[in-house]
Amino acid sequence: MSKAIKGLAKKRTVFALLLALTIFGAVYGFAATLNVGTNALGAGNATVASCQVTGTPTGTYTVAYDSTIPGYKVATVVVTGLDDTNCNGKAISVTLTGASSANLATITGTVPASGNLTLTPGSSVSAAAVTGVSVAING
Amino acid sequence: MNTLSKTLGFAVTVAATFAACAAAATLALGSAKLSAGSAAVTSCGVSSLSATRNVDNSGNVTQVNVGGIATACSGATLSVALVNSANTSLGNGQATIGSCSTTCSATISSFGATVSAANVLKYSFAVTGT
Repeated sequence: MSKAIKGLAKKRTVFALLLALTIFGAVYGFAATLNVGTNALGAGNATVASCQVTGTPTGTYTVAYDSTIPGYKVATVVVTGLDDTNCNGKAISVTLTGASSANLATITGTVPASGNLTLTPGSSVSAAAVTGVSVAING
Repeated sequence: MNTLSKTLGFAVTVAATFAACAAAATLALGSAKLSAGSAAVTSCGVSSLSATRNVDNSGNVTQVNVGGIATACSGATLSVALVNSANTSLGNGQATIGSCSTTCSATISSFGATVSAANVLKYSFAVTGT
């Protein structure tokens, strides 16, 4: 009888240990999951690819006289060399820059299915002030 | 004792599985395509130009002759506006700067309107390349 009681006590001890360790493992796992889900900062790596596979986007310009400058302004920016095949429909942003890389005007548009893209600045930009152009295609 | 060891091993395995599952849920990152670049917009060397004009018997400008253009501007397009005292364009025209060895010149003979020479106070110009 004493032996049976000892056996039963041993089984209960083992069962308690098993239960405790299982619960610990589960809680530890859930705790790690919650930490990941609620963190404000994640980290990882991904490749940022470009749709512009062939050609070099190049800004060309037309001018028009503007009495408010007075002088010639940039009438249109014509972007040539776009990869229409791969960038068709993507958003494009063209920025005209001046001295100290100041932003003179930013013009946005969509890469056409074929041909060049003609953009018109929303403000009067003196042609003499333009020293650089930046182009970004996003999407 | 043997039973206890097996039980402990099982429990550790279960705990490790939960921990591994939690870690595997961490990574998920992608990126849209992005292309960007910048280029300098340089001048072919026309910070200042001089011009002469021809006038007909009615006193209207018939052509503007621009000289002293840098050879680097060869092949570019010269735009000239005839401007009055209020900075208003009275007429403007364009010409392609031809090939040249020392300095280039260009002649513009169409301004889109009849322009009285008496009203022209200054010329405004721009050169756009290809």
